Amino acid sequence: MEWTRQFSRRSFAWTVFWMALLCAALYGAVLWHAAQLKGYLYIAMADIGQLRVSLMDAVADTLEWHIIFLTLTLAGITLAFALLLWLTIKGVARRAADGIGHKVAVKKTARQPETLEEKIVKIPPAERERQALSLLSLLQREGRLLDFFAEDLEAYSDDQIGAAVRGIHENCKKLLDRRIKPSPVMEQEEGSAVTLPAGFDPMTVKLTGNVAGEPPFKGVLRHKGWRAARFDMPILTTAGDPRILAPAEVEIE
Amino acid sequence: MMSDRKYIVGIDLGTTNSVVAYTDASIEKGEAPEIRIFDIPQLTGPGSLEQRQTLPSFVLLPGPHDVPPDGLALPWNQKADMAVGAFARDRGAEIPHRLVSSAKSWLCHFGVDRTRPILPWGADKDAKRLSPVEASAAVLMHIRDAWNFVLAGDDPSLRLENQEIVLTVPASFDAVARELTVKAAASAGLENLTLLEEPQAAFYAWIYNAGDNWRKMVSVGDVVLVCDIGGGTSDFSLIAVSEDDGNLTLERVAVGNHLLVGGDNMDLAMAHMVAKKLAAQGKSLDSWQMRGLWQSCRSAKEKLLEPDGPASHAVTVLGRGRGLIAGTIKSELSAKEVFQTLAEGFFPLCEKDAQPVAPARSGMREMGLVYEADPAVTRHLAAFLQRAGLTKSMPTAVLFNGGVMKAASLKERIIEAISLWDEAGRGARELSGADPDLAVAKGAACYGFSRQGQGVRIRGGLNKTYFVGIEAAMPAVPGLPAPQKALCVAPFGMEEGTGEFLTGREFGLVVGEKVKFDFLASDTRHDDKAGDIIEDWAGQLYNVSSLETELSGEAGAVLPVTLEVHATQVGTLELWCVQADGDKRWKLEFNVREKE
Repeated sequence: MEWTRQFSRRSFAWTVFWMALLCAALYGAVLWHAAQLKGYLYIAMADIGQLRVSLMDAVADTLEWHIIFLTLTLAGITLAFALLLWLTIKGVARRAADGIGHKVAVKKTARQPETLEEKIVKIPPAERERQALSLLSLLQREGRLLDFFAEDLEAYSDDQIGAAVRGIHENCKKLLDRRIKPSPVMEQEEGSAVTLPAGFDPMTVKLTGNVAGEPPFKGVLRHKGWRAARFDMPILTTAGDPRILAPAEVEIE
Repeated sequence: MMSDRKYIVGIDLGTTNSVVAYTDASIEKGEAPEIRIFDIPQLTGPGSLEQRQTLPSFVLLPGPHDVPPDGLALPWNQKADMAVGAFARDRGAEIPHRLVSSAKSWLCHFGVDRTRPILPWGADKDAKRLSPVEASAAVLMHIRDAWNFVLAGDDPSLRLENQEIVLTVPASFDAVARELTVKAAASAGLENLTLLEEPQAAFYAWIYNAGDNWRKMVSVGDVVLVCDIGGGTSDFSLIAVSEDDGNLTLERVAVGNHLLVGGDNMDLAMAHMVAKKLAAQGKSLDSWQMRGLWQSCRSAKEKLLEPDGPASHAVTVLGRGRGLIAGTIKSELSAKEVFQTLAEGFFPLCEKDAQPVAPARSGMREMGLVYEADPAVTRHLAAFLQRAGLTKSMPTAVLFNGGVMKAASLKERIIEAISLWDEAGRGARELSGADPDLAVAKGAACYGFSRQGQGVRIRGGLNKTYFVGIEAAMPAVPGLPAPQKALCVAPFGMEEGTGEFLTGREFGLVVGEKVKFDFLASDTRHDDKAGDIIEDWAGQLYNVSSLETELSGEAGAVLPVTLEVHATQVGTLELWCVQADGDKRWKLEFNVREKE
């Protein structure tokens, strides 16, 4: 869309420009030929009294010659301007296309596919809710996380809790590692001395304690932080109640 | 023509998982192809779409109440009424009579009519069902639609139907199963097809990974055993390395049976072992808990069989519903226990002339897939090597493939078993491959590429010797069935693209009546030539199917015909009845209905 708008605007401007010039040139050519003819006509009329037939012939020949010459001139000028117009339009098109980033007529050996997500039109409302709750839904489906949080831990011994937690831990961890791959923000060992250079991003490093002056700061790393090294979540293709995190299960005998 | 295809695509249509690999068809001479895996978009939950490297070969045929409305919608088919892939497998585990699994193994089952809708096996009469051919076609159609959506867009030259496709089949698939595979692909619109045996594909993948070094890793006289043990099936092949004009040549010399035993059996065995332990403690498990236990055992097995794995691993089954902690059942598996169960149950060290144990069968048998009675893979391997003629010297190298063979200790066990059979006690060395899950698809793409140019090819040809049954010209004796002789029509090793014209033998066939020939095969006889007659074949040949046709013409007339056999470039076998003194030809079709 953007490309078409740019292209049409610029090509219109150039078309008008060259056509105006063409008009002026044609007008000029016609005027010049007309002036020539006027000259000849005056000479002819001045000599008519002497009935110089031969001069009349000469005038008729010149007239014919002028008409041919005029036609050729007009054709030549029109073609020249058409050529100039075409070259300009081509240049405009290429520049407009480059500006948007499309490559025109490039030979490819492998087609770069759009990502799957770019192709699918998402279904609109409650979208934010659904996307936000979808990770929780997955953790329940594969790791039983919500069931775990619903438990009253007072009722069980540490041993019993431990046994269940091992399974939940394994499944949830597997899911997160595959989809989100939580990784540390800073790689150094916790408790070691670190130096933060000037211009560090406060989004990635949070300062606590005796913060004064300008960076570089010397301090002790207390928490490595978490960063999502990956985002590999499924594309949701249907509508439906986004609040349903896990359907109820009924077994038919 | 090959030159105007954009891609060469290798499709591994596995029993449990399918994989698609591809490479550009036009590459500068001398450059190695870059083989990529196509990440297949599939449903992983209702209304939840993801791209994965493998597509589980499961088809879910839900009833009206099994999935949310529009839960099966795909970007290329909003009105889909069946699902293929991870969601089909996971949801199907909860509603098993709606799930079609292992369709591929049904393609070579000759006790059923393979073109009738019989799957899911055991489903109700009014439930939606598919034939094995349709189920395999459904998986291929999903692959085709996914490819066209992601890679082709509006450009018809990039569609999967217009690419050069190599489809893998087990080496043991006979002519009928191959024909059905080609039929399934054709109904998915995939016709630029060549079939390739899976163990050969694994070998091509190994060559591709090794690069130019592969010639240094094998030498003349090497016999390579390709040992492919996947989730549900095991396949063996032998590839011999020899020399021709100073260059190394490869030939596939033997092919094993299609064994329905694999990783799933091993996980189940461990689950039963844990269930027994729990029963001793007084805890019994219902079917839901058994399934959870099976999953838990699978992940425990993977951890315990790792080279530096833990000595033991907890196996827990969480309680159902909200009684999560209260209903948790806990047990433990030790690495030693696991290795011992698997080693003794599935990889026992046996004699080289061991035969698979066939237990006494009760009279009635439940119909279904013919699972192996003896799960001992090493016994099957020993029988295979005996049949292949390796009685004194054993394979010198082994290429492992398949999910089960990711465990180093199991690979060592197999090599140990082989070294016991070798007279000189030599062990086989391992050819290290990569990506045991993706190798077959990559190898298929590689093969497709090397067919275009000078890439190394494994010579193979027909994997069995095929025969046609003919009645002996003997006076009939009441009470005795007319004795049958076998006429060899397609010799072992017959190359693709060749034909055999059995003009020496004429049959007088009646026009208008159905013509039927028994179609037989042998895995052991490798020296018969086309036209040879075998008189006494009990035990060596087995019945595959029957060939049928009907002659057109003047009803009641008797026409003399001869047989013509073609091994096609695609990889299938075609048999024709040709009029002896004329031009007319009739194609003999394989009968895929139940054996009478």
